[in-house]
Amino acid sequence: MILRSLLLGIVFCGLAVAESVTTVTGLVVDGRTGLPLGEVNVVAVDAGTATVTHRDGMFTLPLPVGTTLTRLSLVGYQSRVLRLEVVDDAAPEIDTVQVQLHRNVIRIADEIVIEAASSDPAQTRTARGADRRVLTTTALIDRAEGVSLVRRANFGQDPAIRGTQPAQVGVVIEGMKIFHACVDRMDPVTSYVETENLQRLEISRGGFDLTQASAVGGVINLVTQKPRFDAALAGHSQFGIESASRHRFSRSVLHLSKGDFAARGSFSYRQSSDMAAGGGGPIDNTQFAKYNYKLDVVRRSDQHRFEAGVLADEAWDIGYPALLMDARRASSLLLNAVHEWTPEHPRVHSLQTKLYVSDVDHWMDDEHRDVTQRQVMRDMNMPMQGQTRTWGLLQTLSLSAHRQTLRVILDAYQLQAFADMEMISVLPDVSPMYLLNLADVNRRHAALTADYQRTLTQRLEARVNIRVDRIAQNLQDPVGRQQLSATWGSEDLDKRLGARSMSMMLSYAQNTVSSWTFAWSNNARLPTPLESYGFFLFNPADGYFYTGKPSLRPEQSQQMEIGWQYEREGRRVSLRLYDNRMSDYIVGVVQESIFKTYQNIDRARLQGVELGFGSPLGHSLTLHGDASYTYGRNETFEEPLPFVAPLEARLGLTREGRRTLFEINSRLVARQARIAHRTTLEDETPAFAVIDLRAVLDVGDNYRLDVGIDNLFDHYYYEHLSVGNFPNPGRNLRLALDVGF
Amino acid sequence: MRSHYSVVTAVLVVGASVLLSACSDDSRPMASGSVDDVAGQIELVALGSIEDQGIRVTLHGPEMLQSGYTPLEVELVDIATGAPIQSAQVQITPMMHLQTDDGEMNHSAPTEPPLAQESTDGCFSNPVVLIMPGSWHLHVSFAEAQGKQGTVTFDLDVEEGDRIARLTGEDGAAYFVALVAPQTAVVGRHDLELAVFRRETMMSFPPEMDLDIDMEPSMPAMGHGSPENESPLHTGAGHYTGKVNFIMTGDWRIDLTLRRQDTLIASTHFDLTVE
Repeated sequence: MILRSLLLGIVFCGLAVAESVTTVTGLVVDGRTGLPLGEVNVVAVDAGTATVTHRDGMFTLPLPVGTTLTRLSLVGYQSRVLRLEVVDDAAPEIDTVQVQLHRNVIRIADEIVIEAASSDPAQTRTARGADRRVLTTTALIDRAEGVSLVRRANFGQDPAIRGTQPAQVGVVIEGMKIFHACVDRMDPVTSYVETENLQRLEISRGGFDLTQASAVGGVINLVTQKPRFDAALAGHSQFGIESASRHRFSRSVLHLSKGDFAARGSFSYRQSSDMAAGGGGPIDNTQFAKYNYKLDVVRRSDQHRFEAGVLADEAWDIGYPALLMDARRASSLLLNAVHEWTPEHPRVHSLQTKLYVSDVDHWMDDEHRDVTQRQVMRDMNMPMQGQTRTWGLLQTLSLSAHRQTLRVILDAYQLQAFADMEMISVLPDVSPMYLLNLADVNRRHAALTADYQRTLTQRLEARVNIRVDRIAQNLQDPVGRQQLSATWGSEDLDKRLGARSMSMMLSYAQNTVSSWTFAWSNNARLPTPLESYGFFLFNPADGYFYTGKPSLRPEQSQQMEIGWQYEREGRRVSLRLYDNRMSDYIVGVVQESIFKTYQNIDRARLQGVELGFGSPLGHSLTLHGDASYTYGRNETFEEPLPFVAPLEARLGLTREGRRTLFEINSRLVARQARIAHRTTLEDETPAFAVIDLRAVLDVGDNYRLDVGIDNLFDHYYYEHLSVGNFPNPGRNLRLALDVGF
Repeated sequence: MRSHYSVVTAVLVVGASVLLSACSDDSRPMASGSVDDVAGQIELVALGSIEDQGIRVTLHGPEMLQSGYTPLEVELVDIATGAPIQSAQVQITPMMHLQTDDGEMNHSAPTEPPLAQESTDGCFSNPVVLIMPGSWHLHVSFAEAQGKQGTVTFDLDVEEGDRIARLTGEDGAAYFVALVAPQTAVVGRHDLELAVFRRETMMSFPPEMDLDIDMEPSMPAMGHGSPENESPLHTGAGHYTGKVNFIMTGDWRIDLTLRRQDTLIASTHFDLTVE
């Protein structure tokens, strides 16, 4: 009997044990030294069998005929998942294959892989097991521990990490900076990338990853799919519907390649009617529609790789019942060109240069609202417009030597941001009004980061990040300068700011199954353009109008994190404790009456814990869960920090077979009674629990059916971070069909 | 006895006609009611000229005459030499003749003390507060002008303006509050200047110098005001100066409350449209 390799698989040879089961053998070695690795966990994920390599690196594992996902893992090494196919063959052949495991780099960010990159056929959790069945980018982000979403509508949620606010979290697209155009953050960056274009999410919690952005809360890097060279023509389409908002969607992806040229294109369309919350009918004005397309081309040679791409997203008629306005149109465009050089040099691994330009526009109004009845801005229509233009350069030089690597990253961009509003009374004889919320802000930002990693001993790895940021910014519109000068007098509105940040991480492999990590950072976050120059920005959370302060200092943060991971034969436990002490914390402070200005306050502190676990129960069943809690305190005003998510726990049971997946997930969120009183108007939120069911079925090689019921018991609930207590959807039946070729 | 008053009716120059004036180098006279360059300055035009005793007396004022604080300048030029008269005492006395059921009644209006007796360009600033619309006679008296003295009268028609408030106080007295600045309301934080007078008699309107004035700007259509305002404080001769912050274009209302030693005197407001 011969085991025939798949295009993406590994060949094992085996001894037939039974007509439908084969015992395979293999050898696992260190990818750098070639030495055999013992105690490596080898788990046939969907066959329910597992073993551990001997000291000589050898293992044997029974596998059924057909395709099996097999996972190899060892503390201190990068895990690998292999897709194995066992077939009958007339001519037996015996062979032993080597599997190389490479030492772990200290992972700053957790990765949620959506779909295997074509360049890494052994990537983990592809297709069925991955979260491609989850249909929105923000739903994917929501699954990460310590991450919460600020919900304003049935569209576009903003991520917050470990009790920090969205302004303190960096959201980038492969390192590229793109800025929302709406002053009310109705168009977060997460809304520009659809799941058909996501390859993975890199979520770094806390201020330890300095390579992507200057952010004290963390960074979410949306890494997109690239053209593949392994198929001349391939693609897939997905069609589906969800009941809670009659959300209809379709997505299509097409790959083309020939020789050293490859292209990838995608298009998706989504339309949602009014959303129903638990126990009730549809909530008026929660609809939206959008389309998204992406096109990438790649040309490669021995040492060079050229890429060019365009990503565009267009959404319209988006209802925001929790806010004063609806989004009439939200439009984003991102163009980029990349060159990567990988020379044959013992020290220089690669040099990547990326140029990009983004253009984001946003229009909102209240044409469909009864403005005669609202409390704020009564009898007034207020069309608003915003736009951002960003030009950027990202250059990464990667060097490596014996047991160490160094990346040097130059990150530079120029941002032009503008936002204004008109106020037109419905009453006669009232003059129209006009003001500038963001009066042509020009920001030039350059950052230089060094990311150094070194293997200190067999068990000890170290990673250090050092980052320097410099910005020069000013307000270009003369009327805008007049507006802001009314508050800040003759203060110079043209500013130059700098920040220096450093982080250090240590990873210690205690033994073959457990490891410890320790991280420390002294991090700074530069104020956003809105915090520096925003004017008359209405915050529905507290009912105040905010004005920026040009002389804001960068937020400072000192953070520490201790982590422990255990993994053995499929069982895993992780525990993280963190402490974030902030000074010059940027918050709105009452100026007078209904007006606030952004100010630096002395001290704020966030502390928390994150726990995760997973355990196989046999028969392809896995129990998994996680819990997270953050305690936040404004030490200047001696009250809780506002909008910190409460204790949350998730528990799930998954049964994954070769062609099927069944899952039941529960989410339990505690009441949040720790609320701020002085810095904002915040209300307590009740506890809630929801249960979701999912089933995925692969039919043949090209079809997949994805069925789910979210919020099984149609519970009415809302998140603590929801603006205006906007609820989550009620019971939602989901049906999606995926067709590939 | 021949009166020093030369009753000559001046032709009121209205509309777009502008006479060249020697009051500024190459531009129309500018009167400033505030140190705020943006909102305080008003362009003046020549309202008329009268010759008397070899002196040409030209009255400069706003092109559109409205009731309220009116910046006026008197230009004196020696007719023989064409040179400006750089030293003189100049005083404007406004008078209105009203025909009532009880007969004819004359009354004056508040005036400011002359700002200077010396002027290199021959222009002497003499603001007045025209307390109501109608036909006004402005008696311009000059003395010690190259040893000469005289009076000429300019007849002006004044429209109703929105920068003067005529109040009856809680104490029964008649008060006049004039908005001196800003004259042109634009977005931003500007000086706010008021001039407050009390009618003592029909001919006497002394300035009120002991009031506490609370000022609150708001946008009635929007239901909100603005931050960073300063209620006006007395700065001399019945003038009160503070700061008003217009954060956006549109219709604004400036509410004023006048008190004397915590006793309410009167309340009023001014409506402006900010450009």
